[in-house]
Amino acid sequence: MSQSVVSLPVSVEQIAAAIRQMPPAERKRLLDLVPELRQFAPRTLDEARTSAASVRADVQQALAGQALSSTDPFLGDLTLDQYLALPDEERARLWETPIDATWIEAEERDVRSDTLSAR
Amino acid sequence: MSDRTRCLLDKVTARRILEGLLKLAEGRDLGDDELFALDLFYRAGSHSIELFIVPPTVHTLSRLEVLPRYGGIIRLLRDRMQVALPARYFTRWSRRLRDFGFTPEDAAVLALGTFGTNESGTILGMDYIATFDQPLIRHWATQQGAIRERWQTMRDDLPAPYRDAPLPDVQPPEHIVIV
Repeated sequence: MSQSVVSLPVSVEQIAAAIRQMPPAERKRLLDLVPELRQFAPRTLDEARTSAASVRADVQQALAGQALSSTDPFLGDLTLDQYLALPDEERARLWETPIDATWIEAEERDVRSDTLSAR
Repeated sequence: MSDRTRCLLDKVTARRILEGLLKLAEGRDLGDDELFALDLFYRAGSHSIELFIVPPTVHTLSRLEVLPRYGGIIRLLRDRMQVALPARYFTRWSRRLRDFGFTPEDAAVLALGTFGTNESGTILGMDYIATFDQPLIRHWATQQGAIRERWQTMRDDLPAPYRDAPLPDVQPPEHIVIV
């Protein structure tokens, strides 16, 4: 889908292609020239840690003073401790469900005529 | 058009959020993926973003919700998420995406990004699909031109509002921006 960008005879797609080919130093220069683009920059680990610290309070509230125990049963026949110690592929396997293959064939539903499409 | 950013979490991203919440509850250290997944979860609670999960994730969370110890955490998770359900034309688009080499499961998640709706049928499609699956992200990006061409051909035959359904942006959680 090609749209012209302001009065420049280039499309958003052309600009995107140019940015993708830029070395890191030029991308940094671009950010300096257009600081508004920083809001589109990937989140940093520091930002994520700050968010996690905020979520911690929600978790404590959700637990309502009842701390989890690593020996409580969790998925399968495993305790939470055992589950979290598994390699990622094995944890993924425990998340497999009978509907993994069947939901794809689920009945489709109509949306309302005044439905809101994503942007 | 919606004024809220919609983001569909693939199964692994939803799992990372839950594992992150459980580790927070136990005071354990978090890995980078869990941190970025929780960051998205946090931003969903404090910004104009709506999170959606795929039906199999709901199934697994329901199994956990009945365990008394985890009910509170699962509800915390579910309160910020809706389930994305297949709307009309989902199956047709999913099959076409398979032609581009996506697995049936990946094609279905990608198709929910275009023809996914909520319980009340008031929305259509997602702005983002959040995934840590780098090969999937790359394949979606490299095939984008051909996919858009295929989508353009298909949409011409669809009635409103389906012809206005979006193609989602497929990104890892840390690249999902809310504007």
